[in-house]
Amino acid sequence: MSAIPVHVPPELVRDFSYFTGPGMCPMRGGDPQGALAGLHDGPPVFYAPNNTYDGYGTWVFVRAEDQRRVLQDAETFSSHRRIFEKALGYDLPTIPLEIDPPEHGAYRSLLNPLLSPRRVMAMEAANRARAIELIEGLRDKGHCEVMEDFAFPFAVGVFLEFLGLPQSRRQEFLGWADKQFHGTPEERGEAIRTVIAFMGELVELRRREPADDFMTFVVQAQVNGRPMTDKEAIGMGALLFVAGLDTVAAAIGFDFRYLAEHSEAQARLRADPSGVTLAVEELLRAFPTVLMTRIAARDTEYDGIVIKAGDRVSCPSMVANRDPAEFTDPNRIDLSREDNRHVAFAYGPHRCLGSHLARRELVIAMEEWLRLIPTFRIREGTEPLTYGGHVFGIEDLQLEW
Amino acid sequence: MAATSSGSRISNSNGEGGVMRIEVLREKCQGHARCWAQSPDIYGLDDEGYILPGDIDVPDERKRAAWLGAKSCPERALVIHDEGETSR
Repeated sequence: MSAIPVHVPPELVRDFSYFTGPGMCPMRGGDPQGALAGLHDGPPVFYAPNNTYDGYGTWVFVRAEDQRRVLQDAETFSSHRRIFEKALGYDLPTIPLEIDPPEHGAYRSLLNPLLSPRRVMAMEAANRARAIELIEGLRDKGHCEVMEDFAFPFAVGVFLEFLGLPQSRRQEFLGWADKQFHGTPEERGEAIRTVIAFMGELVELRRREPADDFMTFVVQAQVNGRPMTDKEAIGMGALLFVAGLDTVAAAIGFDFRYLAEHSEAQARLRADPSGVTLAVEELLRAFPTVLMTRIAARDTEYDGIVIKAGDRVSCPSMVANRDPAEFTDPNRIDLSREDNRHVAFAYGPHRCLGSHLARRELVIAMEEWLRLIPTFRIREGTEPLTYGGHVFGIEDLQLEW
Repeated sequence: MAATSSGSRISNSNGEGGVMRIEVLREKCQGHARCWAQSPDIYGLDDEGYILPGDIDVPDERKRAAWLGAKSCPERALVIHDEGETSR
């Protein structure tokens, strides 16, 4: 644990951790997002001295409005966290996440059209067919473990197809992602080196043997009037890999867990499937899985609080999404909530590039599951395993019908 | 698709008072596309999925749709000017 910096006033220090706090440790039947809602009863900004997997302290911004200010101001609150530096021994920025404006714009403009709302609509039929095939394959069993039997094969399948990576290596890729997000510091380092080596080989392969896929597009692209470098291409592949591999699957897990525990919500959505779109937004608000971290690029003052260059600033989406100043009755889950400007995909220039695809995957998954599977519940004698951390998750989600 | 020139895209059909105008703060747009999801005929997107530049005059019969779209922006990039009131 790092010492509390001298510029942090003692009254702003709180005993808080995304990893070990109440409701954050892996536990059966937990509610890690809900466990953080109580932060709104405390100070809007506080300092948690040991709040990363590797023992760093972070500022924690509680209110949605403050998170918006932080995340929109990338000049002051940089997204260049040097995520891979410790593991690799050199900095290899994931792109565009770890490139700040104005340099960020060129990379983002290159990738935006690949995941625009219009492009995502063109993927709709294939994604829906993938979901239907998986659900039909397990329906007659009368029960399943949602994550392994549906959420991961579906979400990761969509993702690997987009990246042009072989489906046959799904379990291997998921293992790397799991270690990187949830492993010990040693396991994280090893997973990062593995992913970077893999992306390096992929870049080399697609320069040598172009295909109709993402990495071929990247290595053939121009950025700022010059060809993409290998390091940049690796940084782009690595980001999509870590950002998209299991986030949608985790969201499907939290969504289905909620529906399994609320049969009346299932009944309403079955009677009126057009409500699924709003329901997915509300569940994104209630159960987001990603928290945003920034690093102060310079000394700054935020509402009288001194933040020094290099300080880590954490913006937990799950906390902003339950801010009573922006959401009526925030701890009530209302699947028909209309006024819902949640921050599950962040605010500011680093807004989740895959948000449009993720939303459609979640809608498709819920629509087809409700259409093909009768009323379902948590399988008797089981409870899902939930946990906090840098990326919140759910495992062992056994359903029966 | 080329971005349209700046200026209003939808004009008020009757030209009478009580015109609702949506001020587009394009530099705040981050491509969430929630406005477009809500009201695609009012809020157009470019090829990257960001809002087209130019403020939008809204005909009376589309006020509700325009309001819902503007109020769905997570970045507060759409400012509603209606009957002397301003909100985002």
